[in-house]
Amino acid sequence: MQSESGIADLIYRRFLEELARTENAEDSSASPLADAMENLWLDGRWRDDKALIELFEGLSEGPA
Amino acid sequence: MTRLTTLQVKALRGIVQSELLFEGGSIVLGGGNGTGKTAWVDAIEFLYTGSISTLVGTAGLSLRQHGAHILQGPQESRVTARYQDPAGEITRWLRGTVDSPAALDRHLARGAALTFILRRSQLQQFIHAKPADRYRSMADLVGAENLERAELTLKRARDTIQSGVLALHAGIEQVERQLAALPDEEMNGSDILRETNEQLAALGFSDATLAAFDDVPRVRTAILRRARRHETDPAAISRARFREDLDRGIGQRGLRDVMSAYLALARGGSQNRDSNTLELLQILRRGREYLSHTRVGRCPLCEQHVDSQALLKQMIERVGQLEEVSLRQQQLERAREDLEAAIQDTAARLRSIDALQRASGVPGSAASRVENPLAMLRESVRDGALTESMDMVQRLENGLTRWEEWRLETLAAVEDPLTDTDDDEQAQAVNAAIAVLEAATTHNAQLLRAQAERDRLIADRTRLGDELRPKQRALALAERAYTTFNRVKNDEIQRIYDQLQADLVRMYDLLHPGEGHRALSIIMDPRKRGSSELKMGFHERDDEDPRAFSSEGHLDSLGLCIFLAFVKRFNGDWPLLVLDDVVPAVDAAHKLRVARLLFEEFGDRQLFITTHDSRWFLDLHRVGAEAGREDVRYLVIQSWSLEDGPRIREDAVAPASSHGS
Repeated sequence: MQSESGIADLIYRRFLEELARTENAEDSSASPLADAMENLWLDGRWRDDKALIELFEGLSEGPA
Repeated sequence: MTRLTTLQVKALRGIVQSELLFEGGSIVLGGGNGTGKTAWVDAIEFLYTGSISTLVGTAGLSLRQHGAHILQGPQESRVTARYQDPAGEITRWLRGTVDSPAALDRHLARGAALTFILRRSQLQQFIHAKPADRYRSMADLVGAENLERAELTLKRARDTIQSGVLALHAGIEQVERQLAALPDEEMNGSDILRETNEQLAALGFSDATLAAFDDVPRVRTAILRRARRHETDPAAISRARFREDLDRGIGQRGLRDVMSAYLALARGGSQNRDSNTLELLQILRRGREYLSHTRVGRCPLCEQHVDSQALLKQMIERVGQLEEVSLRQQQLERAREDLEAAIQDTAARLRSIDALQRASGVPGSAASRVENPLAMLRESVRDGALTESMDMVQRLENGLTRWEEWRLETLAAVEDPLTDTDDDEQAQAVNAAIAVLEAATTHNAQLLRAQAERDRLIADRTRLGDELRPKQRALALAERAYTTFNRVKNDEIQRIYDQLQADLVRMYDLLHPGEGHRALSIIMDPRKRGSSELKMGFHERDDEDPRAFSSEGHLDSLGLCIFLAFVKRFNGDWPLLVLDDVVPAVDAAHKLRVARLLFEEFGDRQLFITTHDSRWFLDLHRVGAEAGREDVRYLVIQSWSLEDGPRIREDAVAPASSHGS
């Protein structure tokens, strides 16, 4: 059962903020990982291992 | 705020058909064991969630099989709740349908999402659970199950990518091992060619040079041709035959023997061949025969008297002499013929050797040393004048001697291409050269194979490396996401625990004033994905597990306080709070404090409390009355039967003042 305050949402938001903060420490112009993770949370695919793996691998493609 | 007014239940669990009138307020329901109190709690849970937790997760139990009343079919089983603000009615059927007006949809959804029911069976689960299970219970209470699922999904994704990375690393390591096992690559084809040419030159085949491995067949053929040159080279053949004839000689020894025999016969006086001797001998032989047969006394020619006996005797002597002479002459003739044949043979051999000498390219000619004396000798023999020309014999002898000397010198000087010794050396050199070529070819083939294998392995390593790099980046992202999530979640849950702690401590202090406990806390273990420790100080001991020093009653009340603290923190204005017989192990004094706590802290909510403890029932009644809670109904289940279900009456006992502190 979820609490009315949406603890999961709140904590996930906090996680996205922290993820974006660490990304911004490297590149202040973008936080693609946090953005992708947010989209995954919003469309409900965060439960899907494969979707997550595709997300990480998609962000890792191209030259280092 | 939406409030429950009526709860109607039909054919569910132990209830046949009955209702509770909340009228927007609370109900305390008393009754003995087995009277159906918990069936009402089940009905509320079913209404909001469509499930009954006590029938879930235990083998052999199910809502479909055991949810309906035992005498009635599940088609009739249902729970209906009526509400005010907004007014409306929700009915959930066991067969699966829900009738709910739109105005109550949000209320129904909140009821499904929140935790507001605490059963006795759940009370100490939290206390006695392992830290990880306790955390899951806490997460369930605060509605963080999705966080748990999200974190677990992140972990699985990270582990999957990590497995891929490890597999690629293992693949690269295997390729590296295979590369290390290949032959040393310091040598290349050019090195082999250079080394081979050096070896061929050392074997005497300096003109057989490999510029490339494609030359191997050509060079091999050239080497073999050289090895068999004596079989095809005319000069070599001539030289071999020249040596052979030279070794055999010109019959000089036989010539000397025959010449000596001839000279011996000739010097014996018979060198003058007399052709009449044979005729005379024949006449005398006839005369001897005649005289032997006739014995005549007179000569048939002159008619003179002859002594036939004496004449026969003389004739016999004379025939004898003549036969001796004839025999010597015959011997001499044969010796002469032998000598002529020997001279002819020697001359023929000389010509042959001379021709072979010229053909084999051996300089000079020795035939002249013997040719002229030989020709002169032959003439002398024909003329029968050899005995008269001994100078000729001596000249021949000198010529033969010189020729013999030359023959020995020439044999020593001229290499025989067919001699065994030379052939063996040549064959050994050829065999060695062929072996060198074969070794070079084999070595080059090995190098080429090794190079092909090396190229393949390097390509594999490159491919694996190309696959590895993005995987490593993906793993870094997955690791960052997972660790960040874990850290933030643990921090936030701990923050929630810290927020709960004030309520928890306050409530527990209310129930157990001055009983030695202190510093009650719930702590997230930051080292773990989800693990919550309960800590409590007790007198002089800090950070102890509450189970170490607490009675069962204390642990029950601790569990109740944790639940109530969560409800207070997270359930907002949700009206319902259901407690199903939650304090049986608590003593009377503490139960009274629990009753006060409930009415003081949760007086604004609709409480539904069941108990089999008649004393606590009265405590609740009295405390409620003291608190001025006129909206609380105190009901007692008088009896229960299978056919009728629970029979409920209003408790009419007027509460006296509550006892205890």
